[in-house]
Amino acid sequence: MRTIAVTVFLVLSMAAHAQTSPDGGAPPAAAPAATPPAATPAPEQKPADDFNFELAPAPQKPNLLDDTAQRKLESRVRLRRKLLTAHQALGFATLGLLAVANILGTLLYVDKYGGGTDTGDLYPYHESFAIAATAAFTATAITALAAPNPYPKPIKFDAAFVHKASMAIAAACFVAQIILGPVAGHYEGSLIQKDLALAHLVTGWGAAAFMTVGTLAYVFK
Amino acid sequence: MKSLVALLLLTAPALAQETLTLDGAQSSLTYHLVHKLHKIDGTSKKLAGKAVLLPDGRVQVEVHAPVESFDSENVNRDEHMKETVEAARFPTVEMKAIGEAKPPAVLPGAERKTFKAQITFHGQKNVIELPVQLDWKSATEVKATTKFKISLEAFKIDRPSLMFVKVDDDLGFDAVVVFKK
Repeated sequence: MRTIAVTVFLVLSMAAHAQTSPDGGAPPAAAPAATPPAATPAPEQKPADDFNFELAPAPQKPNLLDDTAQRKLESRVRLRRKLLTAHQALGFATLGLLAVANILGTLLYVDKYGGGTDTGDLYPYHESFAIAATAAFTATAITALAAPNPYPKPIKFDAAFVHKASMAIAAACFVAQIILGPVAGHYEGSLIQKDLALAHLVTGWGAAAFMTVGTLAYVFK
Repeated sequence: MKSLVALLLLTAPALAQETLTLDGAQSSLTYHLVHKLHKIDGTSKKLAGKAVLLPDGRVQVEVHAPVESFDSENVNRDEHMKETVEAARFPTVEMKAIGEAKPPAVLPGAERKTFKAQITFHGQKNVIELPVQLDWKSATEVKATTKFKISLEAFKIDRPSLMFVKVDDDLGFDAVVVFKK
């Protein structure tokens, strides 16, 4: 009878032990090295050791950066953060300067073609703000393009893509208005001047609109 | 001797324990970050882990996710997050939890439990109380749902900013993890 009891105990113990294997296979000691480490449930542990178990160790990256590479990456991160902080400041400055330039330009247009006195008093201010806005926009773009990418980024349609696409269109509008402004001035007295001035006005507001969309892309998503 | 055999027969099943593996296809971990201008959600579906149902009715759980796997639908923001949590130095976020749970007598069944969890994030370890909803589909398949918050500063994370405004210190998480044999 003792033999039966011992046999039953052994059989049941083996059955219970077999269930501890994570994949229901062989017990951990017999598992090949390639299989995930076996669960090692803690027996009785003190509270301080509650978490002293390893069920599924995180797969460490085999090529975690060495100290030199880590320092280099951190240096690139710091540079990126500085440039992108400046990018944001310059972006808001550009929006402000562009808004003023556009308002002054609109007043000039209305003054000239909308029944105003066409004194042109605002022209120097419009030109100054337009130049400042263009310079600020260029600096904004440079800080973004020069920022290193220490962590690779996939390309996909998301808020960042909308931001970049909007700013690219805003840049095209800037180029167009830089060309159209002097061209419209060149055709002073000609019938076509009104159309050129209108196109200049539209591209100016277009630049502001696309910059706003690009900025809000980060706010709403 | 008969009583010894009977005792062994009765107690042996209780000694059994189950190891359940996280089903990555049905599991996700989402963080929620609040900025003055908007709320941000980022989700990882690259979870891995195991749960062990111990014979004494306790359960040990371990779940981890690569920090680079969180997607907030903005690659620039995700990149910023990796910078902030130093993803190259600390590539994973890990949770170990312990508590009491075992399949209910009637299946399927649900129960609410509070686990004690240790979160390892940004190289820091912190222990929190973790309320968990357990939905047992069978004795070897359970869905655990939990919501919890951590403090970024408690994990020594310099809060990132957008438009010169820092995000809130609270970082919320929603986790849905399915374990099965």
